[in-house]
Amino acid sequence: MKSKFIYNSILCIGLSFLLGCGLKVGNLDVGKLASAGKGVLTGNKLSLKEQKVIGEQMTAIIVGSSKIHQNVELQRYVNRVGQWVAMHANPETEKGVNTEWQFIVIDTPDFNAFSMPGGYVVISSGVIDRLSSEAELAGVLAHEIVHVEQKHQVRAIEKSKTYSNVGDLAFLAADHYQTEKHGGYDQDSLKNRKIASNLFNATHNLYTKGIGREDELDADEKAVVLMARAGYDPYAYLSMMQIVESIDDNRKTLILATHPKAKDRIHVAFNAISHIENYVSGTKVVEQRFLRQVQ
Amino acid sequence: MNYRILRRLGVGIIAFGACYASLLMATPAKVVRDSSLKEKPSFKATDVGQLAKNQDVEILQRQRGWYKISTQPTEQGWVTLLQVRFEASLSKSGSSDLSKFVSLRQGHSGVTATTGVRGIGEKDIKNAKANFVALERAKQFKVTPQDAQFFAKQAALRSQTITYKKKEGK
Repeated sequence: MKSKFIYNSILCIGLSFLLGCGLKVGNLDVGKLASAGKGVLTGNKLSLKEQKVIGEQMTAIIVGSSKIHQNVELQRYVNRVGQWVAMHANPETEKGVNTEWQFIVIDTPDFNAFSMPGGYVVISSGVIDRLSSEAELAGVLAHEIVHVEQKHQVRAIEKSKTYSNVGDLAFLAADHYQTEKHGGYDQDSLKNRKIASNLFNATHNLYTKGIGREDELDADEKAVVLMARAGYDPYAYLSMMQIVESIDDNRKTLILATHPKAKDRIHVAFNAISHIENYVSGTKVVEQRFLRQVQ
Repeated sequence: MNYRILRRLGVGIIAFGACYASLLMATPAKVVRDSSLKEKPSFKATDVGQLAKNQDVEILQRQRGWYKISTQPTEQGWVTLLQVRFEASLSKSGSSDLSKFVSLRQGHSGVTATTGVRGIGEKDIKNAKANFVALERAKQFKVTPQDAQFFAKQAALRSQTITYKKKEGK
């Protein structure tokens, strides 16, 4: 009992140390991450603030795997569509902390979209290339927004062994404290590198292996509702999925690896729309504005 | 002289525009199963023809859950979205005329300026370096809810209150 108390105290001191020093390994802010790992130290779920820190670091990694699209107008346009759709979701809130939505277009020809905890959504220009309307774009974004709203990634992280590694940030921080105590403090120490590498592993696993069939289908089912709430024609979700279905496999390798078959997803979405049929009549497709923006 | 050149240019632009519009509208597709072709986008509408599984058709427009399609030689009618699937598209891997044509088929000219560039794969994420500079830059593109509201109003998008379907057994 006593030893546990001492151990926890050391962990907390370690965390405070890392947080206070703004320690960076490479270009990852280990101090921030160690702070985010604090919730796990006490066995709590990740707070929204902690999710945002982890999400921010993960987004930097995803963005770092490609390059940000140079077209400022396009970036703003996607943020406007995304923000409007997201305003119809009900993400977790905490005292003084809200989900802040940030949409980023990366310049890559594949069909990809990612969402990270805390409200970050990354979409490839290859998606936009293939769509024909704003409602289809809203559909892609709505799917990602639902992942954040329903905390699909957060729960996957919490359940996964990799996450316990990210959660181990706190323990590593304590180790770091001990290293510092005994051998001096080195920014490039192996342990700090391990914290960084754990986050890279968690990001790699989440976005190349996926979060599970159930959650993906849940996002499809809820995305059409979210579209209709925002006034977009939910049937555009189906035509968007038909586009995904028709894309050459080597242009959707990550989607193939992380999502159920498009055919199954189309059926799930179709059924979901049949439940909201009464809300479809006033919805819009918005083709002209979309085409003006992307040509 | 100048007037002639301008006129020719004008005709050329109009011809290109027409061609472009038709490319946008007509999407090659295949019929998924034997189906009836409807006169209107409704199950109650009169049958105007029969479609066979794997028959080639062209999608002309969408109305809610229905596609207006044309078949060879000139038959037109409506089928539900689930009765057809888009023809598989080729990779958009280069800047050849073919790849441009393929991308036009289902969308537009494209915003991905780079040509011959790979997309993101598993290795790219594994080997990625966190780019906080790009992330910081991206923060400039964020918009406020007020901005989004104005944007939605411009397209007459109206909010609706709809609840998510409850999970069975919950």
